[in-house]
Amino acid sequence: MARESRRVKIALAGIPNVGKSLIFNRLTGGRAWVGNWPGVTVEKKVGTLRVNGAEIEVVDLPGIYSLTAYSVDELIARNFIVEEKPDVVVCIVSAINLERSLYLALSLLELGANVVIDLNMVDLAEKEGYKIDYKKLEFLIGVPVVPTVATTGRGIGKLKETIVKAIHEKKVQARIVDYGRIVEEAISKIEEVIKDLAPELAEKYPARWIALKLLEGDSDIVGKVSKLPAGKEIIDKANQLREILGKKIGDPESYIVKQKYERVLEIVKAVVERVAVPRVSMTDLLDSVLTHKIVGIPLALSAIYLLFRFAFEVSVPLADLVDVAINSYLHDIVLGIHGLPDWLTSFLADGVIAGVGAVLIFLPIIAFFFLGFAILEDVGYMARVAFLVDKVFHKFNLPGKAVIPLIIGFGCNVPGVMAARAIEDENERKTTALIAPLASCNARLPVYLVIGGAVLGASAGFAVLSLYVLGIILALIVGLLLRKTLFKGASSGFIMELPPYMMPRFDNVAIKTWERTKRFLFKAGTVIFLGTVIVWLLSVTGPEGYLGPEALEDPQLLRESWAGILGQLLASTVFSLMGWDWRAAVALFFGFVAKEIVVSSMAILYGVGEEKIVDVIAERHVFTPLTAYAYMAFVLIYVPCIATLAMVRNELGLKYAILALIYEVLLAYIVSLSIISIGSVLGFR
Amino acid sequence: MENSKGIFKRYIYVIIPIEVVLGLVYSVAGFIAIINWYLGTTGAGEFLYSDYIPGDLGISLVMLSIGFLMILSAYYWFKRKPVKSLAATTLGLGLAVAAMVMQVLVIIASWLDGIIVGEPIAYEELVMGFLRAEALLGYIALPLFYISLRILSKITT
Repeated sequence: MARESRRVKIALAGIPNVGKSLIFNRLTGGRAWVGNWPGVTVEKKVGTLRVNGAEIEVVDLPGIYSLTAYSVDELIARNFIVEEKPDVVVCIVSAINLERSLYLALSLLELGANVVIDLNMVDLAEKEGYKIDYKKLEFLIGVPVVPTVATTGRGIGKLKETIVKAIHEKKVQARIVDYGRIVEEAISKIEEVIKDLAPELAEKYPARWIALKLLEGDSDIVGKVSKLPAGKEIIDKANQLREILGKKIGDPESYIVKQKYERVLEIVKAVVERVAVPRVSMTDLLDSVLTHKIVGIPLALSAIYLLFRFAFEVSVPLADLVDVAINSYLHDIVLGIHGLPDWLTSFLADGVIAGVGAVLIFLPIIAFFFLGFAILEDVGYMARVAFLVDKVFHKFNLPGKAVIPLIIGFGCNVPGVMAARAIEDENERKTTALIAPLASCNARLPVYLVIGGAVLGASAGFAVLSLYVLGIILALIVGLLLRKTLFKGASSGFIMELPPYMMPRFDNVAIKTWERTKRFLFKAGTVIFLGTVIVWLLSVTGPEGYLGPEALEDPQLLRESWAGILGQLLASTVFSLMGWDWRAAVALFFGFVAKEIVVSSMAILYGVGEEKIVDVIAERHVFTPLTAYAYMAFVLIYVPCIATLAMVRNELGLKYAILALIYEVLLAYIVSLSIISIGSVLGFR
Repeated sequence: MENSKGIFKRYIYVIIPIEVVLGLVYSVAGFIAIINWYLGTTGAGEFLYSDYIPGDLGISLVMLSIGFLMILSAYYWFKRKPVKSLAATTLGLGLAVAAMVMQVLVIIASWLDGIIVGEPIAYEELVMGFLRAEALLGYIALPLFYISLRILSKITT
């Protein structure tokens, strides 16, 4: 049989925050391959379900509410179901939000999918005093229904069995909704036309579904049909019927949605029974304070502050352990290897180990940040933070969800850019990915601490805090400008589901933390490693040829390297108005690879160790307070690092990576120059 | 089984009075943290209660939020909104416990770090870390948080 020649494939569908990720982890053991859906930057997660010796591919579809053409995620889901024809679509339905979940389930059935319903969170429904007759639900919609509790694993075994059974016993319920005589007649007429004029279309898509979509005026389907040889005829017929229907029932699309909702309500009424007087829900009670428009904001800021304390301060021993292991032991081991040529020893010690070490030292901070973030996410709090800032962000034409990439960006801009994937609207997603690098990541902090500590004295703390605030203000302003120019469109409303508060699950938190940290390690690590090698090469070579590793320790010799020449050129031209020393200028160039390299570069260029750089900057009066603050602002704004740019290219394409590079360098220059000019006028020096 | 009236009696007689006092102390400590931060950034003078209250805007925000929630809880109670009052209580005490746990973790991390880098932290310094305002007040908040959670779980789903 042709079917057996390919791997059996199932898809998981569900509205956001229905427990889909948990079910995916339960089915696949948490091991997933993560990529992108073709042509878009929406994350695609694929895993393997092993049951009775068989291997079944599990594809996690994006969280969606319906199958319209209005959102990228919904288009991805329906195109996958239609084109890839998964053997089973498991629709995860929330027992505490049955109406909205069932609407999606009916949409999937209409699409001709072989659906299994996973009725999740039945424990919460029971606690709220509801009993759901799932056998009756199964009877009414004609497909298997399995009650589960993803958090405890209850019903997962039964779900696996049902999936296997459904693979062999396909059930299709495309006529799950009766739209009434007038509409049904119109559907039948279009179906006939499709079967007559475009049988190839009817083979690929269920004809009834196509007819419905044409009556709704679905732009994606209208576009696809119009490309067919007989497309014009089919569309004309559909438009003619739409017009007739319009006179009888009003807008056909609204009517179809309404009828489907009525069917959903009918089913819900028949299967849900209230068996106990409901008590106050813990979620509602906590939300009365946590999502309060005044109280909620300081609470969110407090939670984020504690998250940062956890990431930056609690991870210190691990960060130092990595530092000691790499920069002392490993570095010394390499230096102790006899018989290696000088250039190779320098390459390994100053290039490879210094480069990889620069990334690995920050790994514990990143991992702790993601651990704390995953806990807040699993508890259900991050959705509330997005809800709280939605109003403020709306004023800048940005969605509330844009706050998540910005918060993640405080840890590291690479996953910050990636986190923009969660935003449905394409223009909003692109804007958010482009402004996420303006969040001051932890790699910039060493630069602030060194320069602030050396030059600004008692005002250093306030200066550092002001840079974090400046980053957010600039992100909002740039976001607004981008939304007014390149990515026009009204800001989408807040449609994120606020999940019930739950205890975080260890396995879920561990998987999320590991996946995000691993991505940082592999994607950022490789780029930073390569970048460091380039920096090393530019520092030990010059117009005279190979200068030797001595250049890294001899400031005079370093002046003659490509890096030194470039630094002097930068300082005497573009940065001449800033009053920065050439060493500071070339450190910015190195910082293009990774911000933490700014400090180590300055240490090399001033001929001291990193631990003495603060004293040297202070003693030699490298900066005035004003030029120091302008320098710190420049570090905040200009190109975050190669890894982040690579991620922007990965997510949005080369064009947008170049745009990010240009706008950030220009913005950094303008802001820094403004600080110096305005500061000078105000009498600062 | 204890009825909700009994539960709320315990709440009003035990938690609310302590919480009001605790809320005021948190608020004062939060303001002192702001003053200390200002003194630190301007160098205008010596820190107030420097052993117990840091000059940190972040921790001042946390302490002021805790204080505000605790006082808000009493306000809701007198406005005859017991459920909202309980929500504010639980969240205020929860945040207080979280701040305390974080401080304890930071002290443990500093101690471990001292061993790793070969510069062990002095015993007195460690003890003072455990006595910082957010830790000290968090120890008092811990049992109250436990009680409020139990009350909350009894009246909610």
